[in-house]
Amino acid sequence: METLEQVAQRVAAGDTAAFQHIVRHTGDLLVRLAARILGNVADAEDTVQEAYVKAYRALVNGQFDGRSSVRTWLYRIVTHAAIDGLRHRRRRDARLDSELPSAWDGAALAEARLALTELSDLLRGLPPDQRAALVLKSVEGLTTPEIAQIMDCSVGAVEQRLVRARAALRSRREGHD
Amino acid sequence: MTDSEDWLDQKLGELARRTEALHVSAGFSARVADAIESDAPMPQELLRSARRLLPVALVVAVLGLGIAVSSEQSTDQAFAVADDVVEIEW
Repeated sequence: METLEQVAQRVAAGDTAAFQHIVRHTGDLLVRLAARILGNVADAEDTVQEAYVKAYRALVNGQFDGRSSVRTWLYRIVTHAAIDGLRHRRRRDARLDSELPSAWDGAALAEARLALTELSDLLRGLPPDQRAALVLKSVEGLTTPEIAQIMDCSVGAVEQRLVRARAALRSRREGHD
Repeated sequence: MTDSEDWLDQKLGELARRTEALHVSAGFSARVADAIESDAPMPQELLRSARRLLPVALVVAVLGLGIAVSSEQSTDQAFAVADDVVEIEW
């Protein structure tokens, strides 16, 4: 079984069709990550599509240095794109960010979309970088150093974002009690 | 850890499990392929063909230049001959 790193090397060497292998093997993972940060699947798919275009361009131009794994590198591109998306979306109606079950969804997907709406409601109001840090840590289950690498910041900065995000959510919950 | 943080971790853990079924919609890979293709500044095949034709184009350009120079010399000689004819007529 070929690793993503080996496939990425093939793409960089001119086998551009091999990029579809990367898309097939990381698509669900990346759309799930983007959806958890953004709060809906449609925006997540658009974000991940743009991220793949950037990643492909970087691979064929020899800009992927291989210092991180391909998965971490893709996580980084998608996370930054999702944070940008949240920043540009701030003026939009908050309800547009919710995920509504479609009549075409199966039961499992419909339940996942409802859970996504709950997650989005829970994280609503957090600054984009805090929201992304909390999703990466507590939903994706990544370590703080991994998050620092993905968000291009220090471990201390990640910890600060997590503390602030938790404090904001705690204070909101206590305000509701 | 406070009760509130405990509640938050439990809630986020639960939402992580419940959103695990999220996946890309049908045709997503094809849309990505289309987006990549339309983003390309020039099709790779065309670029490769152009690279192969580059040496031939250089040779043609040099030959063209040579023909242009020799043609100019012939024209100068023709003018000179024509001038001679004009002088004889005067």
